[in-house]
Amino acid sequence: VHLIRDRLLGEIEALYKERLDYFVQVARAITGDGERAREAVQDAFAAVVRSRHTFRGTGPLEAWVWRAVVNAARKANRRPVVELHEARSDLHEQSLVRSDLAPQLAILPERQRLVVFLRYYADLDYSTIASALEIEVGTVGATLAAAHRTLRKSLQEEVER
Amino acid sequence: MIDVEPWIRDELERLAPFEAVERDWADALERSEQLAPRRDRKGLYRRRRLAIVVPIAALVLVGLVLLPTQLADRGHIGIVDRALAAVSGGPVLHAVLRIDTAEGWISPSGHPRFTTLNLSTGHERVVETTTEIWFDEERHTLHTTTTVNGAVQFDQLVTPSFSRSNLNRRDKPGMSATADVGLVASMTGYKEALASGRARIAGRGRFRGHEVIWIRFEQKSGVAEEVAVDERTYRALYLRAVCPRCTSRPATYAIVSLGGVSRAGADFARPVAPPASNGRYGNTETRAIPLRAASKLLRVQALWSGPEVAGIKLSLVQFVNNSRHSSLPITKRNVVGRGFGIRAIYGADVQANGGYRVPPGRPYVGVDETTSFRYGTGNFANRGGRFAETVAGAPVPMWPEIALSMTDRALWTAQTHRGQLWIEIDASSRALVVAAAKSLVSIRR
Repeated sequence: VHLIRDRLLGEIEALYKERLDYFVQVARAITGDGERAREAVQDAFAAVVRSRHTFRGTGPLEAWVWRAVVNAARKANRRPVVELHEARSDLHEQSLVRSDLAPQLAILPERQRLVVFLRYYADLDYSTIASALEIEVGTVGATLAAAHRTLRKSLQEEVER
Repeated sequence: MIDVEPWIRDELERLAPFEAVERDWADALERSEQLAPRRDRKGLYRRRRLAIVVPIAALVLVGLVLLPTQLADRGHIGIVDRALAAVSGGPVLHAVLRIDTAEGWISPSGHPRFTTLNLSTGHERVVETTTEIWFDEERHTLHTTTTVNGAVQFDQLVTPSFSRSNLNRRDKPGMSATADVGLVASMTGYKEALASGRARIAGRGRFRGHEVIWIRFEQKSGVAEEVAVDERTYRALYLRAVCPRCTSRPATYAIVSLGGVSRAGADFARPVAPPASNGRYGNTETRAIPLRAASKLLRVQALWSGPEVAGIKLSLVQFVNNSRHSSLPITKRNVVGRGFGIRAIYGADVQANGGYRVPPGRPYVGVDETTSFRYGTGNFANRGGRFAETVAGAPVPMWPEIALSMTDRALWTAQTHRGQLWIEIDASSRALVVAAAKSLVSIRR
């Protein structure tokens, strides 16, 4: 058991070194703050290292780490995603066309938002996202489809005559 | 209709750009040490539990060790050897896995969430998701593709020098793909375990119509995987994790093929970058129209589901004029694409401004049709206009087949391609969406 744990530690370290940029990018999208994102990811890895003996191996190790990072970022999140939009709202003030994603992401249900982040920031496939969020593979597809539907709808400016 | 994927990708990149972050592994380790007091408390509890668990685990281990011997005594000694022989050699692992969509794809009403239904014959088949893996362990290179009914949804190449997927237009930093990445771990483990003798026979019986022998392997993580091999041919058929404590049952993968191939025969092609967004700015004009005007405005024969669907009456018909623009302000000069659509709404309250509202919980049906899946109405998740996809990511079927998708508890969608029309029907239940599809007829002018 000790050998397995040590081997896991090495694999966790390799993940940290190779994928840290992605973990922080997703955490930043969730928290809306770079520093808090970095802290959340460091805390997540600390927790992963500490609890590596509980890794059940039913999915990829990376998915398990993603789960820890997402949870840490959610915990650290005090400011919603929409603040990113407010910080840069001057860019398209002159337009009636809503092309900013941030406010639309903010109104998505949390699960949809997380699936979007893991899909597009982390390039994860459905099965890894499913493992990371502890949901069924089919639910990932349905959730992503629902998010696409909502975002597409909100992207279009409705002008009724 | 909008290419929503490129737009999401671009916007996400602007929201939180990819940045190289300074590594501080020592800090993570130090923080983990600071968690020690909490862990120690847990440790006390764990030690108490171990007193009970260890004898049980010991019994299980003894059973696993003895089982092959017992089987050998009954004439089964060659099973693992023969299963090993059924795995062909070669330096690159090639595996094709299909998720059994009967698992994990079921709606609360008991129906699969994503299916294709033939309205003429009644035949319905579940959408198939297939994952193909090419893994070169020596070169730490992994190529993974996931297709839905044959349409590529995910295509990723990971090498030590770069990684690239069909979701992003630029390379990302490389990483050493190792045997613990996803399913490759268990696949590699399978082959190695057979060769090294780590495999154990866990049982036998009938599984999904096959007489199989379950061979159990310890993964590198220390948790078991089981592979079902055909009792007669010893070909690997299914793969599943063994996790009695899991809250949701781990998926069982059907193994379509598994083996080693030469490097020359392997597919490590660079994934095709996604297309650029087809105009960032969109405009939609919607107005109520008389039913008889639908075909003239759409410029082809329009369809509807009749004056009512399952007793739900037609509320209104709308004409939708979508346009995409390359820049702001929106003008006729910067149009990059335009699409028209007709929308027939059943069961809604019509508002004074020509819009509509469906009160929560009320049954409704919406029929959208367009000649342009790229710019028109509906949710045909096209990839830069190259081809139309259903909301599940599968190719849109030709009439009389319809793609059925459930994306919310009270939102079922049917999508099909009929003549020049791309048709999407949304309804509050599966029965309604099927009824509306079955009753599609031409609108008389």
